Amino acid sequence: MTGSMTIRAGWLARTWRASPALRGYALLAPALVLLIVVLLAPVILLVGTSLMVEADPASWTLGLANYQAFFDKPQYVAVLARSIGIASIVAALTVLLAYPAAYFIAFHVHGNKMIWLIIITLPFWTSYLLRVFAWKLILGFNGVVNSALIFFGLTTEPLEALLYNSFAVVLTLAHAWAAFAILPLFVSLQKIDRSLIEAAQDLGEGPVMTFLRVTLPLSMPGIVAALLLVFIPTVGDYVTPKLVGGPNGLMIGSLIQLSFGQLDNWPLGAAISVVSMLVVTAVVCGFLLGLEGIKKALA
Amino acid sequence: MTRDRTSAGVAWLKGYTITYLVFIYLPVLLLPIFSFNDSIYVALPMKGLTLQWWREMIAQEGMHAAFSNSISVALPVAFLSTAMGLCAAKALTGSRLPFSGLLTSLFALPLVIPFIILGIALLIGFNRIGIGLSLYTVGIGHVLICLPFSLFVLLSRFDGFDRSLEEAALDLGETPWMTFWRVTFPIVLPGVIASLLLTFTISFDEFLLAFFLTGSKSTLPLYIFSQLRFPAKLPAVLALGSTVLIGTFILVAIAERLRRQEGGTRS
Amino acid sequence: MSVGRMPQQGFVGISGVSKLFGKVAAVDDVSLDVGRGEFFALLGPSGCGKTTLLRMLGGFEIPTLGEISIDGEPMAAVPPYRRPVNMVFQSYAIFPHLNVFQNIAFGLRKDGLSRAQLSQRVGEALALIRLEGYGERAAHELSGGQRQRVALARALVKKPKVLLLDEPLGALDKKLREHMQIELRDLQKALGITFLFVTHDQEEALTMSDRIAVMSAGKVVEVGPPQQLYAAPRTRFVAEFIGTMNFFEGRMLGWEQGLPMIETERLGAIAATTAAAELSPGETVTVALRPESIHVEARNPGPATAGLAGTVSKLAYLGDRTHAYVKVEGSDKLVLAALPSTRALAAIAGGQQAPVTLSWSPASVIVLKGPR
Repeated sequence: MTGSMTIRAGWLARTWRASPALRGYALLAPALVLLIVVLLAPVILLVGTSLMVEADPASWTLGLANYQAFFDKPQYVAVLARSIGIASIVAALTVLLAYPAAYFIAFHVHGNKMIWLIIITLPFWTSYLLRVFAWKLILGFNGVVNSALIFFGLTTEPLEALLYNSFAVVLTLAHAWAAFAILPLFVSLQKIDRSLIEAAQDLGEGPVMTFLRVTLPLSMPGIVAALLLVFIPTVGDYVTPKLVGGPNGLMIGSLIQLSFGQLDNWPLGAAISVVSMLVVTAVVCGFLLGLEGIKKALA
Repeated sequence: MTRDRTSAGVAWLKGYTITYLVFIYLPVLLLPIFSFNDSIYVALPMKGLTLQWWREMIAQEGMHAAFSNSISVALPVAFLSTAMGLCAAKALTGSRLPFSGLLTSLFALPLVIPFIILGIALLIGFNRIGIGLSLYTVGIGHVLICLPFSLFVLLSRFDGFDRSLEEAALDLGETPWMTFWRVTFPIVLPGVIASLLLTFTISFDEFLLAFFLTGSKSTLPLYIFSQLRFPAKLPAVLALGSTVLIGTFILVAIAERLRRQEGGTRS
Repeated sequence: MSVGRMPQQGFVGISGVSKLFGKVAAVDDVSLDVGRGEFFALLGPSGCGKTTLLRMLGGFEIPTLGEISIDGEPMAAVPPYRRPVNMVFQSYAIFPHLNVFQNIAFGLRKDGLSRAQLSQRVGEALALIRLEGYGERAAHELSGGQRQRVALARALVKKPKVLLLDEPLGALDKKLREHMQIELRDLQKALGITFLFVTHDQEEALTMSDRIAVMSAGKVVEVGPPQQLYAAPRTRFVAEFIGTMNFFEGRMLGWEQGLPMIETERLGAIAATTAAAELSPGETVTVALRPESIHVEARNPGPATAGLAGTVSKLAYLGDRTHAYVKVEGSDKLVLAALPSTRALAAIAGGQQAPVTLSWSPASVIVLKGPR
């Protein structure tokens, strides 16, 4: 086809130059390899481990006995259910608290919105451990809140109900994940075409109705993203329940760690992990499908 | 730009946002404040100011070792994940790859899986292969979670990148390799530095994966965690925590400034 | 105008070149020869393949089929950084992290020039584009027109054999564009470099080029100098694309006094001088008339004595010209006539609904083969 000399090296060089896709994949390769080797392979191993059942001492077969062991214990299942419940409340609370702030920055800051966002999200880059620990200090028996209440004469006895329960877990997590909620909410609100809002007002809607009929629906993608971004990692959280949860605030993450630590039952721990992941996926899918259903019903 | 709300409504929103801001910062500011408190209890009212705890913190041997361990993990992790993120970002934005959307989402996976499960999976993985736990295994885990952050920082930098700049350089006689160094790299440099700072910070502060994947050596967060059991050590921990907090703050502030340079309202 | 594989004759030889993206042929078997020192335009609507063809010349796309040569040398295995060709990009691609001097000097790094030589070369380039003293300016301080000139200087300073320009004036406002059209033309003539540029603006192509290749759907439809393409197009596509045109269907009648006569749907039997000899009686043809070749005169109400009778349906005032849309008896489609506004005032005193007579010279009738 061409008059040039086609030595093998020449052909290779031409193909390399001719295919930007090939070059692209080559560049992508290291990161992809890392992802596959360090992420996907261990996850597969995790699933495999969860299926390992001790037939007799020193010999293993595959089976679902570990899963059975998990579901057989009502207290285990209760912990999982509580984790899902807490995570859902945290997600809803976090998004609820973050929404007005995101709205304010998107719509009513006319200068440098970035500064506001940076200021709000900055604390979340600092140590998660320290932030959770700070809440422990705030809510503790001798902590900031209690000592302040006593100091100002509002109570005589410190409140015990602040720490080492689900309330503390929810509050701490709602604080910890705020940035994950603010960013998608802001992006979604920012993208809304302002002229749509002006059109609604032009057609006679007041501020509240405009918000409900135009702004809120249009910001739904951001709301959904924020809910998911908070819900999914929260379910498996370990640090917060450990530091501020107490027996009442036990979550599935602690259970998993226990299996790998004290109980030294790796297959069980793996099974619990897999169950958690599956349940989370199921909840998320159910949520998204439910949303679709509502959208169709309203249309 | 809406003037739909009355100024009272806007004032309420502003007040709310500022309250929200206080809510977010309060726990974080707590540590530095009470690290100067002359008492081992974190309670109001403050008993007086002292530098005792700061001196105590500096004296602790275990702290020095943990600190240097954290650095020796975070630095390589930052460079490695930034380098990979750079290649991946360039590939995903420049090359008209099929499935680029899917691949980008794929790279977000490590963030979506709860860290504890990630830690467990890696633990099992290392165990199977026969790699003993050490700072290296911690590092590998950290690269995994830092890569998505690096990628997203650099993607936003590459997003507005005019491809014809590279073609112009090629047209003017530079080889692809030199084009990268003379044109592409200088322009995305703020993103590279932002990614380095961010990934360093993430690795330095990371607790959970380090908890699962380390051998005998502690990183700084692990050290802090171990000290939490001792009430008498509490204020020194506060001092240490404050140091970490402030250091992180500065690094991330710089990173964010760089990342959003000439970005306007792009987030 | 694809003639298959031809030995390369032109300074820039494009022979049987096709570019396929998947199954879609962006460029379909194109052959062109561009002469040395020519100002050559690739003209066509969006998606016609002109930019793809240009990029193949620059080395940024590799032809799926065919060969490209420059000054006799085949370019198949030559990457863009080794071609004697430079390109001015549509976005100008000014390096934002370098100032004007560094931008222009960018491609000279490899030549190993001394500081003094570099300064001199860049200085000459700056003088050429009339931006002397702008060397220290940062990229973001430049206006659109200045960036375009810097992009030009940056490409020209390397003294390429061919300069490629991708929609070079698209981003400029009208006045600046017209000014730059003349400047580019003068520059090209002074330098003697072959210029090859891509545009969708036919006025631009007509103003600047020595020859134009009109492209559509990946193929070259016609090639020729501007005057020829404007006054005597051979295809309907070109006739329609360049300038405005009135089209009428017709049928060859025969020859009368040496002039071909064509029966048309509305104009009656008309004479033309430029019909090709190979037309035979009974053949379907399309008759085309430029609006400015239609003469408009006021008519006293009543049948026309000479020419075609009609009434003015709409008037559009364009400053120097006025467009008159005339309804001709016996048809509902309007004929567009363009006349100088001063004449329009006299001829169409009645404004709308004014009765007029249309007439034209047979020499300005363009006959195209085939129906619409």
